[in-house]
Amino acid sequence: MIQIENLDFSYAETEFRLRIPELSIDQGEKVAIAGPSGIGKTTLLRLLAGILVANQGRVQVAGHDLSHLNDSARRRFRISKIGFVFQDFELVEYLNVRENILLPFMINTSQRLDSAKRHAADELASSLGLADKLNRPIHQLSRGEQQRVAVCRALLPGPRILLADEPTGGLDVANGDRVIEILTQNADQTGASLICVTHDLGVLDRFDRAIQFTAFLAEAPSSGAN
Amino acid sequence: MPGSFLLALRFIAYYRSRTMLLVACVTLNLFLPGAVHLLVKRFQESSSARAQATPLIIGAKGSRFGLAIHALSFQGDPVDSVTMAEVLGVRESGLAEPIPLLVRFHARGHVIVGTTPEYFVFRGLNILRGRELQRIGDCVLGSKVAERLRLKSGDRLQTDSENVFDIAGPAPLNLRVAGVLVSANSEDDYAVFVDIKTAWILEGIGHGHDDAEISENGSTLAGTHKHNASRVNLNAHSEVTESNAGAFHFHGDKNTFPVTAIIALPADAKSEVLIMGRYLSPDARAQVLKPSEVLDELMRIVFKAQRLFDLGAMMLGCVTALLVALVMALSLRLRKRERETMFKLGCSRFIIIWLQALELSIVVVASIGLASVLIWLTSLVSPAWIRGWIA
Repeated sequence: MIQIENLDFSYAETEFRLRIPELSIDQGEKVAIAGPSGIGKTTLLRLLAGILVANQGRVQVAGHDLSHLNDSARRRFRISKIGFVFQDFELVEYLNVRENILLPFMINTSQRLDSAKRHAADELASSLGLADKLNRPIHQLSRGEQQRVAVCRALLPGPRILLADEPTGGLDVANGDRVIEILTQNADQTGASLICVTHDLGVLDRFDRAIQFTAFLAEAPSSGAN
Repeated sequence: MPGSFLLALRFIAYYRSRTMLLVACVTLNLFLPGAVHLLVKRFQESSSARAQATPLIIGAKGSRFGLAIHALSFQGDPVDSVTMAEVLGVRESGLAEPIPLLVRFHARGHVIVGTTPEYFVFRGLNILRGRELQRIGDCVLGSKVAERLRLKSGDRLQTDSENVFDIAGPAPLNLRVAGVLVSANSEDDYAVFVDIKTAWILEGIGHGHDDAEISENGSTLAGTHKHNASRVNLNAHSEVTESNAGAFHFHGDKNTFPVTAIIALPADAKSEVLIMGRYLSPDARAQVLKPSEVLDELMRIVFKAQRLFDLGAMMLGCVTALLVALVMALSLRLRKRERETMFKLGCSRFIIIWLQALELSIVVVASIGLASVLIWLTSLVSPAWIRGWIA
């Protein structure tokens, strides 16, 4: 499902460099990625989403070699295959909860926003405890609720690969647990792969595998299954 | 793409203060020049039609603009008068038919125009309700006056005291409303018309009282008479009635009675030239002018002022455009993160630019709409504004 070979990426005019000799993640696998800040965990997620492009090496996701896709094709790939929960939610402040969840359908011409999608958004939000907050502005929500909105937005298109960048960051234990539970449950139900960057070692046992990022990628045995 | 329209609307509504500021700036830039052009156009239309229809105006020497506006609109600063001798002189010359105007007095704020029946024929003014002027003390109301004062034929309308400190001056007169004119969509709608003799009574040249002793060769309405000097308690009439109409009389030589303007209707083009020639002499006691030429002259001055205003408006427009550009640039910078989020969610750069353009377009369209409404409202009140401006 995800296959990385000899990945080499660096940002222009910085010393940062990410090198991954080899990494593979199976379809439906739930993988946690841990490691110190600034090591490249978020960069890896962006490479997998096709937001960034590797300087060298091969990044193959769901049958697409992202290194060989142009901007437009990577964008289409992102829309059709990827659900992304960003580190600090990245919700749009001038939209309400429902509109934030539906945002991918409002900004992509290839995604049709119809009543079925609206209904699905409402149901998904209800299942995550947001039923009575659908028309609320984002700033009236707690951080935990905002994170759940971000999760809804990522899940609604039914992605094959779900990427989550520190989804429990800034949340209390209960809210953090709930978010992880929602993500893993969804992956189990839909068969999507889940790649989750986290600093929260307490949630690693919810994943099939945990990858410890060091200066160079090193795979550590999971504390849970696997 | 309906989603992008909703997004743009949501953004605009969320930052409503910023949006309102932008809309206000753009609206002002559209409205001000638009309104000025409209007012100038309306002024030109309303005044030029009347000026074109009026061949010549004769009046006291002085401001040509003042005399033209006085005779055409019954407004503006008071002008000096000429005498009835001028009217009779024009008539006797056979070159033109003179229509005297005496415009100095007001009734409940509306201008009183003293004239002769020829004026109504000349302007094509017809009676809507009631009848024409029948005797002194009668008045005929322009349609707007009747509407504003809610008067009909048979009602009374008291003239205003022109100088409340002049206790020895002529007292206000109760006019009898004889009729109401059909609307002419002109200045005539805003005037109270009386016979010129009635205007002379308001002037204080004529009056009526119980025991007027008429001289042998005097006439109560047009001639002169002598008062019985032994009687001091004269009961002056403040209204002309059927019973006291005969007691009204005038003092002095009719040739010296004042008129503030004379509309002259030349018999033909040659007569017009001859009439104008009579007043070209430096010794002439009065001046003659062609209203259309005076109005053209006035409009040239107005257009010059308008061009200056346009230049100012253009500069204001440039400043506003820069302001809008600055706000948009700052907005782009502040919303960089939002654009990145959209890009990460699969939004194309074209759609992101389209969204920004849509937001700006909504502001511009709202401004155009608001400016249009304001200009429409201006067009509704423009006749009153123009009248106020001239006055």
